[in-house]
Amino acid sequence: MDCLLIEPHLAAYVDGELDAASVERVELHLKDCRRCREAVRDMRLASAVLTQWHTHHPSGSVSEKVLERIRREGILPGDGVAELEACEARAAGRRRRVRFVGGVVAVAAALLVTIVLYRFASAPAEPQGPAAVRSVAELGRSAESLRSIDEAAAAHVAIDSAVARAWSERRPNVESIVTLEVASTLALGAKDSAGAGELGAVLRELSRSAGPRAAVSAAGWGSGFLSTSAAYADETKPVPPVMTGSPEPKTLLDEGVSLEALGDLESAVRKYQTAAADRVLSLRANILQANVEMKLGRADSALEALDRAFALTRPETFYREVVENLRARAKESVELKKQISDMQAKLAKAEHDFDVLSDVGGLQVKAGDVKGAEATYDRMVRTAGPGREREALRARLVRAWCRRELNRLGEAFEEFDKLVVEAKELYPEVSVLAHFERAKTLDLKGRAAQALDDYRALALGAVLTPGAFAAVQFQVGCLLAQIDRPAESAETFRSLDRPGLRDQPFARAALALARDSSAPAR
Amino acid sequence: MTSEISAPNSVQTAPPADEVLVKRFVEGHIDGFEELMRRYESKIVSFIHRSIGDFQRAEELAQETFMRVFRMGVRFDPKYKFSTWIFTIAKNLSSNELRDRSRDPESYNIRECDWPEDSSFVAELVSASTLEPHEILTSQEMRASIEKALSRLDNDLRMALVMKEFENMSYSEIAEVFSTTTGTVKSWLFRARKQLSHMINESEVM
Repeated sequence: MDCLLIEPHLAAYVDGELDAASVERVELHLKDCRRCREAVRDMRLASAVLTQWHTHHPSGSVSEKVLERIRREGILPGDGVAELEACEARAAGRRRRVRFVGGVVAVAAALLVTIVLYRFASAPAEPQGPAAVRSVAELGRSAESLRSIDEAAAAHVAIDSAVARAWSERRPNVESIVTLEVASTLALGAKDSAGAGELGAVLRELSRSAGPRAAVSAAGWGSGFLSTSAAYADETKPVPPVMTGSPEPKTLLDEGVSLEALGDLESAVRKYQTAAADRVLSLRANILQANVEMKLGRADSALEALDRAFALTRPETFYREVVENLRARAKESVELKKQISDMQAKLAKAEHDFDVLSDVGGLQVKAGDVKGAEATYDRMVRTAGPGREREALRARLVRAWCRRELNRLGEAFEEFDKLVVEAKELYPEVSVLAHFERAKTLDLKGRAAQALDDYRALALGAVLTPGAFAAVQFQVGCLLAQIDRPAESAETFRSLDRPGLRDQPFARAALALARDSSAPAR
Repeated sequence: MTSEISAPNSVQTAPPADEVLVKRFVEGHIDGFEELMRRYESKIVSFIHRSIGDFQRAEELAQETFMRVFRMGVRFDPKYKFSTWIFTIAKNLSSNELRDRSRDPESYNIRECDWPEDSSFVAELVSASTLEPHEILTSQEMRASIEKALSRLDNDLRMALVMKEFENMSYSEIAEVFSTTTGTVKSWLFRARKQLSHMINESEVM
């Protein structure tokens, strides 16, 4: 039979959609036709490749939002309001954060709270950067300590003009963005929703000419403040957070952030608990506390802190979304804990069962219980006997990652450093991963120049896949921007614009940032 | 060794068919609609995401899909399958999105695209416990390659392929969604896979 007659049936043949007689006809043809056999093989190859294509897991919020819309639009058929309320409660309970790392934007935004607060607390006394930016930063710091609405409003005006100067120099950086965030918070606290909205808009605009890291922060914060201020402006009720006049709580919050950065999570929790007594800081203190409680495997306490934070937020606001996402994650964590304890009971019977240990560790990470996961991976490292070298290295990598998540940066760095060397011969891929994480740990330790060198050594010294190479160069470009070498940063990003590289996710991001930074400011 | 599997001690009733649930919510019981969302939320979001390549937008369009189901439920003809109907709505919304985007490509930039999730490979290793370190190093480009190859296919070919490969829909169901014949679907799937394997073999993207 002619190929032209068979070809239209080949897809159906591969998919098992042909009847028995047609299958027989196709197979008879395939015996003698190499071209059609290859076509069948190619189609199976395409299907096999597609099985590797995983998408993100839905956030689970779609149903909830649909039910909200139905209620808002008043299109419920019959007398179904009570039923709808029951459904909404169930939908909220079902919302799940499936991936612990990365994922939901709002959770990333919550982490940004930590990052920005951390950067603020750990910023050097004399900020780097041009004079205008420095003055913005100074104003921001002094404004934060102001305790009356009038003073805050005055500071807001001063900050605004300083921002204008910074803007004219087109040299915004993380420092000025943190300052703007503080100023926006103050404006909200002072019930100045229009002011907060303006600052939100400035933040978003700044993201267009800021360095890449600052750009990401600015875009997120800017949008957050714009939506928050809009919601505040619409509200008729008084805004709850009002300045109290006590100079202490801000210090407590700073101390908590610093303790967290130093890896002393228990003390950080205590500081946040004390700071939460202040009405202005309560929301942020509760969110920060919940983040730490999760890491310590105390999802119940995290949930309590988040319930308190929830009560301080308004619907449709940036913080409400952050808190809701964290609450969903904490609830999931509580449920996962039951599974984890069941598996731990199994472990009591089979002490050295590597697979069960690995499952427990994975679940703990998923539940956000980094401390528990660290202990599990530590046990894996200690119990791995001969023939388990590869598993032991993998467990060491993850254990080091847990330590870094717990802000024990020194220990994490030391472990990554050892792994780079020890795995180089037999398990080069583990060595490459460890090298990448070592450089990242240096960056987190605030040693940008050393981190830069380490990433560059990785790019030059190891055989990297295109995706990994793009990820490394993305980091190099970000670090260059961070240490005020914008031209080199842009050049690094643009160097990824070549065949085989430009479609890698990190290359796409780098090229977009390069385009953004070269775009003329308004 | 004792078996952990025990015989069921109660007779479980089969879950109601989708079409029964539609009837229920049209009669004013929201729980029917809620159950349909629970069954289809993940499928619809994934389908739209794979069709348009933008996860955040996919969640928004999935919301719109369910809103249309809700509003038009009364017009649903029970002689058709609900799954085909909802995928038709999702497919139409995806096609409109792609058409609008092609008219105004500037409106689509990286901020609306999927941002790389985390710059830590070990973080990925932790979250995907079944992957080995060397697979983590290649997973980024594997994903990028597939997305690029798929983005080069015509919209209808890509959506039909996604329906077959990921939703396991039959040729007649896909034909119904696109208001076409099963012969056309056969031809689309043949061409889609052939083009895809050509791109793989040419190593243009892999």
